[in-house]
Order: sequence, then structure tokens, then C-alpha cells
Amino acid sequence: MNRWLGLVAAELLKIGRRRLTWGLLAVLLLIGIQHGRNLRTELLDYRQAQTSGVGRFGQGVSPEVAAATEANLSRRMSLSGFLNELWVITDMWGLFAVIILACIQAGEESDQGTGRTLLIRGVPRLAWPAAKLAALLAAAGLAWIVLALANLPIGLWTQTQAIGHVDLSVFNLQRWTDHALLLVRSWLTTTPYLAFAIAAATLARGAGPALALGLGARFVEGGSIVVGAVLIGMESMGSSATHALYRVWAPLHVISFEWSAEVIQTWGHPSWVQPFSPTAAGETTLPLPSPFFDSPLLAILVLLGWTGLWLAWATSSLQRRDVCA
Amino acid sequence: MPEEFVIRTWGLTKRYGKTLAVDGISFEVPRGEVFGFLGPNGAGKTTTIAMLLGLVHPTSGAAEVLGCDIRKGLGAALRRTGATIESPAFYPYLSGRDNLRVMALTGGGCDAGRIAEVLERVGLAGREGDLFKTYSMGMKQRLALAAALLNDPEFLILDEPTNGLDPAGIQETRTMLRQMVDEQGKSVFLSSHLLHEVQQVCDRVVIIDHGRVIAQGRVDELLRQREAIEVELRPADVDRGEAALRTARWVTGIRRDGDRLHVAAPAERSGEVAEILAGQQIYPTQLVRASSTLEDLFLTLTGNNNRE
Repeated sequence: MNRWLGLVAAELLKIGRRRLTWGLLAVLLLIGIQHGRNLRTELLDYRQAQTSGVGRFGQGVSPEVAAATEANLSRRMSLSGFLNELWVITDMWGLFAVIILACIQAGEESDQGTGRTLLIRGVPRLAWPAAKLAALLAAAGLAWIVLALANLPIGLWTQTQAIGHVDLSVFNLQRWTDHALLLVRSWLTTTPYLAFAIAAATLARGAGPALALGLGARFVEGGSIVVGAVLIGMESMGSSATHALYRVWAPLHVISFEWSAEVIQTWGHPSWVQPFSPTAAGETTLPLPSPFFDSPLLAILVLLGWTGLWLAWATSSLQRRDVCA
Repeated sequence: MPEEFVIRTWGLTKRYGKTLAVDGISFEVPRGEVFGFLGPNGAGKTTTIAMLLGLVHPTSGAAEVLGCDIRKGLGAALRRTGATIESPAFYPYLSGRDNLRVMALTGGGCDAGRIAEVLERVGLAGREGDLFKTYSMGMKQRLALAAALLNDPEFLILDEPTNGLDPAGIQETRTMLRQMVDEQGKSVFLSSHLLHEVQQVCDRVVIIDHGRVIAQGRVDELLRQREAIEVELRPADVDRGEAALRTARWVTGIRRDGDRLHVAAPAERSGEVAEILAGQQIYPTQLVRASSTLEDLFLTLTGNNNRE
């Protein structure tokens, strides 16, 4: 076997034998089951209110609102609606799960001292971070497939709860292609997050600091969108101090993992209006963000660029480092 | 054609800030021997081994392992080498067998038969399915040795491989290393604190202290240099006896200790010592060969330091 593929296989063996891997997967599955149960509870709550006239959808709700609410619940509980909704949830929590796994997988080499055990066997330092990334990406891909398959029966169950029978009309090629594409895009956009986690674990020489950095960066980056919303809000209240900050923050947001991943995931589908989008900015007097906003090509380049940067950083740090003694 | 020396170092130096861990050491390890690497705690042994295994970058100097320059990449050499360094480090949530699988895969893979073979050889057969975190220190050492043997290396670099082993385990390891050298033509570079073991198993040693080489050579030659003959005389004969013995060319020194003379000379000259003294009408009350051990030599050379 090729030595690099051997390294990837060794990483996969470790991931497979780790209890944490299965624990995280179980949590994601439970989230799916719980979401299905929540929808069912909401439906029962709605029906109970309709029958008894008590509750949120009891007295005083117009027939139009009641009909729209039921239609919306039925749409969300249909197989296709459930899979779409669950995918957003799985994508968000799944990303946290793979970041946690990557930090621990890369950090243990320093924590346990196994890094030196591998290096004295002739494992090339140059190949190491890339092999870890490849293995984690492969594991994430498998987990995504398992979750998609596991969500199917839950979706069929919610559909049965909503309409009383299984409707297989959703099983057409177009729908499945869309779901598969969503899965592949969601999976691939985890790459820079994984690379960052590996770099953080390598630079920080441990899983603990890597977890703080990896999850912290995810929160900070994910929260950057709030800054846009706040700036637009301040602008609408007549503040002029927002221009300079917006001018700096908007292009930074365009080159973030968060936004680039979203552009790729919604490629070909209408994306929601972000505070940094030309549409949102156009409604105020704020300067327009990057002209490349919403560009899938730029998004791909951004994600590849970040992945390359983190891997190069991890590799270079590992290459220059004294590992023990 | 195989290299004549498995390790060669020239002025190998490692400095950590103001601390000089290894100070220009030079030595050669011939192929087909067990070579001991000795020194008190903090002498620079592990740092030297780490440099030889490519874990630590030298500050200056040069070294070759199996003909590969450590500064230019040791990949090819390490694939022909088996090594252990410091305390055994493996994945705690994997079994002994799975840990070896991981090690084998990183080398491009090896069959399950070979893994079973090395587990049997180090005495872990039957416990290979237990998690590493449940192993005793001795079992961890055995697993480290199994990992070093996995790729059937032609050269072994072992850093304190018998730490934590019971006496039977120490003896098994010693026998195994000797067999590998004598019967399979392999070479071993062995760092150990167990000087009695080193004396029994090693052909040559290098002793370092404060990062410097303070002695090196064949074990028997180093010990011969330390051989002595103890002579006990009547008080009236001590001065004459010392003067008579000093005339012999092969006496390299005499130390007096009351009525006893400590004569630095090859042990096989004890008959001639008696003859010289008898020629002067001096008859010792006691004459014994005082053989030296590696431990005596080590403690003398390193000043009996007990550093941590």
C-alpha cells in the first residue's frame, strides 16, 4: 500500500475505534429523532387546539391563519420538507461535531506523545496534516451519508403523522439529485474548518487549546453576520459612523468560511438576504460590499485558499519543530 | 553494499537557549554489534537519540544513520530501523494489536501474521486485545519493542527498553537482542541505566556526561584498563614492596591504602606481582585480582553524580 494512503487508513482506524466518534454520531441522530418528535408535538398541539378551542391555535384564530398553519406544518413534516429542515440542523451541529473530532484527533499526537512514535517510524512530517485532513473528510462524508439514510425513516414517520399515509411521490430523480448535491456541498464545505482544527491542534500542541480555538473561531465567524445586522440597524437610526466599519467588515465577511460555505451550498437556489448583501446595503446609504458577493467561484477559491493556508501552516510548523527531548 | 557503521556523528550539538544539552559529541557505531549508550540522568542521551531519529534538529555538527544524513531527511533510514524513545506512547483507546496495526499502516501496511509474530516474540500474546490504557508499564515497554520489531529492521535504536520490565523480562530482552545480533546480523544501539545488563549484552559502549563523550571503546578493553591487583603486606614491607612493583613496565599506577597496595595492572599479571615481591623477600599476606565492572567505571568517570 502507498505510504500516504496507509497513513490515511491508520487515521480512519483510529477514528472508527474512538468512542467519541460514535457518541457524536449518536447525538446527531438523536437531534434528528427529537426534531421529528417536536414537529409531531406541534401538530398534535395544533389539532388539539382546533378541537378544544384552547391554546395558541384555539379561539380567535381566523380560518385563513389556521389553514396556513396546518399547510405549513404539513409541508415541514412531508419527507422532502423534513429532510431539508433536518439538513440545516445536521449541517450546523454536524460541523461542530467534526471540528471537535478533528481537534482531538490531531491534538492527541501531542497530548499522548504518539507523534514521536509515528515520526520515528519514518512517517514524513510533510504528509501528516494532509493525511489527517483526508481521513477526517472521509469520516465526515460517511457520517453525512449515515445521517441522510437515518433521516429517511424519521421523515417517513413525520409524513405519516401529518397526512396519515406514506407519500412516495417525493422519490423522483430531480429531488434526490438536489438532496445528494446538498449533501455533497455541505460535506465539502467542512474542509477549511477541519484544516483549521488540525492547524490549531498542531500549533497549540494539544486538543484542549485546539478545541478552544476551533470552536471559538466558529462562533466568532458565525457571529460576524450579527455585526452586519447591527451596522444596518445603526445606519437606519441615522448613525454615520457605520460607513467605515461596514466598508471594512463587508469584504471580510465575503472571504469568511461561513459565507463562502453558504454560497456553495445554495448555488443555483435563491439565497437568503444577508446584512452584507448588495440588496440589504442598497436599502441604506451604506457602501456596497465586495462586487464578488454571491460568487460561487470566489467562494470555492476562498475555501480552497483557507484550506491550503491552514495545511501549509500546520505542515511548516511541524517541519520546523523539535518533537521531544 | 551495507554501510560499515550504522551511526556516525561528528561534533553533534544541541542547544536549548542557554542550555547546552549535547556538546559536540562524535562516535561511530559499527554494524553487527550491540552498542551501549550510557550516561547519568540529564547527560544528553535522549536528546542525542532524538537527533539521530530526526525528532530534534541539531544546532550544529552532523550525523548519519545507515548512511543517511540526519539533516537531509531520514525517511529511508528510519524505514530500515526500529526504535523506541522515552516512555512508550500509544493510543490509549486502542488495543495492543490495533496500535500495532496503526503503526504497520503508517509504514504502508503489513500482514496480521507479522503482528501476531512480534506480539508472541515480546510476550504479549493473549493480551493483544486489551486496551493500551489497561497495560502495566512492563506491558507498555513490550508493546514498544513489538512496534520497533514490526518492520523486521536491520538496526534497532532502543532508549531504556527494559524500564519497568521484571527480571525475567529484562533477561528475555537481553537474550533476544544478543540473538538478533549474533544470529541475524542486526545492529543494536542501546541506551540503558542498567549497567550490569549493558556489560552483559554490549560489545562496545560510549559514555557521555554533561553532553560530552567521556569514554568509548570495547567493553572488555575499557574494563581491562580498570583492572587491578590488591596486595596486602606486613607494615614493614609496604615501602619496599611498592618500590619493587613500580619497576615493572606493565604497572601503570599504585595507590596505597594502609598496608594494602592497589596495583593498576592487568589481572593476569598477579603471578608476576608475587614473583617480584618474592625476589625482594617480601611475602604478601593476601593477593587478589580486583576485577572492575562497568558500574565502577561509570561511577568513576561520571563522578558518582546522582543528577535528575
